[in-house]
Formats: sequence, C-alpha cells, structure tokens
Amino acid sequence: MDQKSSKNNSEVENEYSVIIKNLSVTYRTEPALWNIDLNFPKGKMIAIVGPNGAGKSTLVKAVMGLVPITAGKVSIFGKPYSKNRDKVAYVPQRGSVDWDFPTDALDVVEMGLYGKLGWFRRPNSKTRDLARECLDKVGLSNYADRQIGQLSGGQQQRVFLARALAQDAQIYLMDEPLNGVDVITEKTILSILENLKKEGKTIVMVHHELQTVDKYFDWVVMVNRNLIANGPIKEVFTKINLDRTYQEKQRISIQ
Amino acid sequence: MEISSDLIIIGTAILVAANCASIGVFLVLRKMAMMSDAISHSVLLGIVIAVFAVGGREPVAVIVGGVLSGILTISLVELLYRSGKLKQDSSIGIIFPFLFAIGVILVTQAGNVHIDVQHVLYGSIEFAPFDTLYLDELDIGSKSIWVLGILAISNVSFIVILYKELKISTFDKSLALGAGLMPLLVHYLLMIMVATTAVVAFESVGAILVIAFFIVPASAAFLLTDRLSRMLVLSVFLGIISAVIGYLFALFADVSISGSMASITGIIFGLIWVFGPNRGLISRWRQVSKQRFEINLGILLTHIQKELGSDRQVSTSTLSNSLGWTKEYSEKLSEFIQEQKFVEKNTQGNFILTDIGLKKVENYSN
Repeated sequence: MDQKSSKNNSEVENEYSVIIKNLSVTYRTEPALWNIDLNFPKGKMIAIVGPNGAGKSTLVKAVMGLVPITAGKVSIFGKPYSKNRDKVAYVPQRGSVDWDFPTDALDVVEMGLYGKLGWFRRPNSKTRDLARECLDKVGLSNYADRQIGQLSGGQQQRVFLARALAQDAQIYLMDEPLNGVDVITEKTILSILENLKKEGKTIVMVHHELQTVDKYFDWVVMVNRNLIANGPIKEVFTKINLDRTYQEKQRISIQ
Repeated sequence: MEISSDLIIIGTAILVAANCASIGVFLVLRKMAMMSDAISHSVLLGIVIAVFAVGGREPVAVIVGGVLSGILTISLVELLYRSGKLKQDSSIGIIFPFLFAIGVILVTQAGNVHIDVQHVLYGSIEFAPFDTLYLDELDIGSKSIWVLGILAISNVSFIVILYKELKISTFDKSLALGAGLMPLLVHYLLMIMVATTAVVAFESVGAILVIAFFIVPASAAFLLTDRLSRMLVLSVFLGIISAVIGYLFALFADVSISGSMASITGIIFGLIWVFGPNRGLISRWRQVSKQRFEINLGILLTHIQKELGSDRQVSTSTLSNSLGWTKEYSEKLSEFIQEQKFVEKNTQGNFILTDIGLKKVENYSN
C-alpha cells in the first residue's frame, strides 16, 4: 500500500502513519505552531496535551489542511493529505456544528459515507445499513431518528464518533471528544478506540485532563506552540516536561 | 383576457415564491439570510449597467449583469469580514447600501431607460401579463412565466442533483472538505443560484418581496420540521400559499400585490411561531409549565417525606412559609397531590405519603 521511495523512508512509513515536518501555522501575525517535527505511530492511542491556546486543535486541523499551513509538510501514509483523504477521519469539537440543523442521528452518521460516495451519487440502502451499524456500535441505535439537538452532549459526541467509524479510516483525529461527557459516553468511546487501536489504526486525541493521560494513552505529544515532548507515555510524560509545557506562557511573559 | 392575466400574475407569483423559498432554505440554515437582502438590492447596479451597455432591457444581459453584481456583493462582503475585525452583518450593511446607492444614482440618470426606484423596491407584477416573449415574432406567452419557469427547473435540478453536497457543506464544512466535496465551490454555486434567483424574481416582484420569499417561508418551515427534505417542501408550500392568499387579498382590498404577498408571508410565519406544534410559543410554554409542575411536585413530595416524623409536619398552610410558594399555588398543588392519592391527611390535618406517593418520591430521587 505504501509508496516506497527509499529504504529509509519506507521504514519510517511502516511505523508511522502521519509524518509532520517543519510545520508552522500562523494566524495573521500570531504564530500558533512553530516548527513542529512529529510523527504519529500506527496502532497507538496518542494524546495531544498543552495549555489553552497552545495550538493543540490547530495541530490536528493542520494535518487535514483545515487551516492554512505557513511552512512545512504533512504526509499521510507517504502522500499529501489531498491524495489520502479517505484514510483520515476527523471528529471536531462538538461546538463546531449547529445542532439545530434539521437532521437526525442516523443521517449525521451517514454523512460520514458521503466522501466514499463521491460527487452526485446518492446515499442508498447500503449506506443506511452501514450507518445504522455504526450507530449501534456507539450504543445509540434507539436514537436513530432523534433530531440531533435533542440528544445529550455525550450522545452528540457518540454520534460524531459513529460518523468517524462510518468513514472506516486508518487515522482518527479527535478534538477533545471526552470534554464534558458522561461516564457511559467516556467508556463507550474508549472501548471503541481500544478496538481500533488493536486493528493497527492511529488514534490522535486532543485531551484536556492530565490525570487520565497515563491511564488512557500509550503515547503523548506535549505542545505549546513549540513541540515540547513526543513519545511513549513512560518516557516523556514526566514532571519536567509537564512543567515546561505549562510554564511556557509564563516564560514568554517574563521575557 | 381578464382571466388569463390573473392567471399570469398568480403564476408569476407562485414561481417567484417557489424559486426563492427553496433556495432560501439553505440561506437560512447557513445563517446567511441577510445576504439575500444584500444581493436582492445590489443586483440593481448590475441590471442598470447591463441596460446601459446594451441599450435596453435585454433579459439575458439583465440576468448576467445582476448575477455579476450579486457575486461582487458576496465577494466584497467576505473580503471585508475575513480581513479584519468586522462581523458579517456589518460587512453586509456596508457593502450593499453602497452598491445599491450607486445603482439608484445611475437609475435617476437614465432618462431614456425605463427603470425607476419605485419599480425596484416593489416590482411591477401587475404588468407581468403585458410583457410577452416573442420567438421569431411569434407570441409565445408571458415573459415572466417563461423566465421564472426556466429558473425553477434550474433551481430544482440544482438542489436535487447537489442535495447531498449542499447538506454536508451546510451542516459541517470540515467534514465536506475532508470528504473531498469542495464546500467552497458548493458555496459559490449556491451564491450564483441565489443571485440569479434574486435578479429574475426582482424583475417581477421587486427587492422587498424577494427578501420576504427568500427568508420567511424557510424560517417558518424550520420551526415545523426536523428534516431537511421536509423543510424544503414545506418552505415552497408556504411560499406558494402566501403568494396565492396575498394575491387574492390584494384583489379584494385593492392594494399593492407584492405588498400584500409579503405581509401574508409574515402573518403565516407569526401564526406558526405562536401556534406551531412542538416549537410554537404556546406549545413551548405548555411544555415548560408542565415540566415546572412536575419538578415542583417532586420538590413537594420530597419535602413531605423529609419532614415526616419531625415536629415540623407539612400541611397546606405551612407550604408558603417553608417552600416560598404563593398561597394559591400551595393550595393548588396540595389539592392535586390529594386527588392523585399521593398523600393522605392524618388526624392533625398534616400530610402523610401513601404507597403511591412513596413510589413517586423514589422515582424522583433516581
């Protein structure tokens, strides 16, 4: 599946699904991410942590080209994102869509399949069945025809996960899916992600709660505009790195 | 002649309504309703320039001019609010009066061209029957019906063919982008359809009615349904109903046709807003007061259970003191819990929970 240009590259590509090189993103004149070099390994649960405004969401969005990249390169299985869109599923923050939109839970999940359908082709009984299956996986089959605004926050988040499952991707990029959700939702999401991980998929999650990082994840990316640390939890999730990540802002203000 | 001119006017109005109300659904859902306001005014500039350029009201030139000025409006508005601090509503408020005003200046300079500002705002649907289209000098019927009919076919095809693409890009732009369904392209195609619809409809019914038909039926439909497909159908239906009732009212009261149609869209919206099922004002108020009642019932029963066996036992008269409710409300609830057999009165006239009441309290504490 992978394009092997040289031995060295192919080795890296066998191990990592996303390779980020020299990535910088600037909003107007504010640098949001500065010269990030980072690879996401396959078959791992990866947490992105950092203080507010550290560029966590931006990092995830930059991988998908949802924000303009000022410099650097992102490759997904050795190709630019535009050539490998179907390998990536994105779960945005819940607030990014209008939940009053006239649609139901099943329909939102089915939208995850629109990319595979491509232009002009209509959803059909096959996509409907697949969407139903995914909704079932997140425990919401009884809510299929519920207008999405009438679901609880946790249920909405699970609908988003079901939509990502429908995309049947290799890489799952998620922006704080556990933020403010109920216990059932958190358990459901984690157990589904655990299974995806076992299938060798890459799961990248912007995560807020530091206490649960070592419990839920194998790998951590610590970011505060710059990349502070990146690696297996046991090696890099240390007090020193945490201090460096969360004190960065202070350091800037002292300067 | 009398009947057929009535039919032409009503047919024109129905087609305008259907065209605007269908496309309007996406404007409302994209929170771009005011963009239709901007476009339907600023098309004047394009129309006037087109009329100057070809020396007459050549329909194709007029449409092209109008669409171009519509796109100019959208681009300038987006340029403004993407470039700095200004919000979209302010950007719209800056751009369209400016373009419209230039149009107005040009119109007043155009002594030899038959456009006037009155016509621009209120249209001249009354004259639709007298404006016929000729094909090789053969009279093939009302121009407005032909033009609007072709527009209706294009709008319906646009929505049917790109239904999925329109839906996904309206609901979640990032998902559409990830799916390779180019939300920006879809956005501009939609805006071209809005501009075309605005120009063509504007010719017959004027700027104000165009805005009413773009925004009001779609908003009313939004209050009535939870499905996009139904919202589209309902919006068109409400638009058409407003057009027909508005026309009949105008005939009956001998008032402006477009004015009365626009008023009817507003009245129908108002009725749905107040009386609509589920999301109507009254039904929402009922739901809320029903929930409040349930909650207060729970508070009361829990309160009775808590005080049971203490020396502060509960009766109707203690409620306004202990729970802060009015005397009337305390009496009303006390009566209700006795009727429902949640409580009985003991010999001192204090409430004690029955088995049914105890079960009810358990439900609340879960």
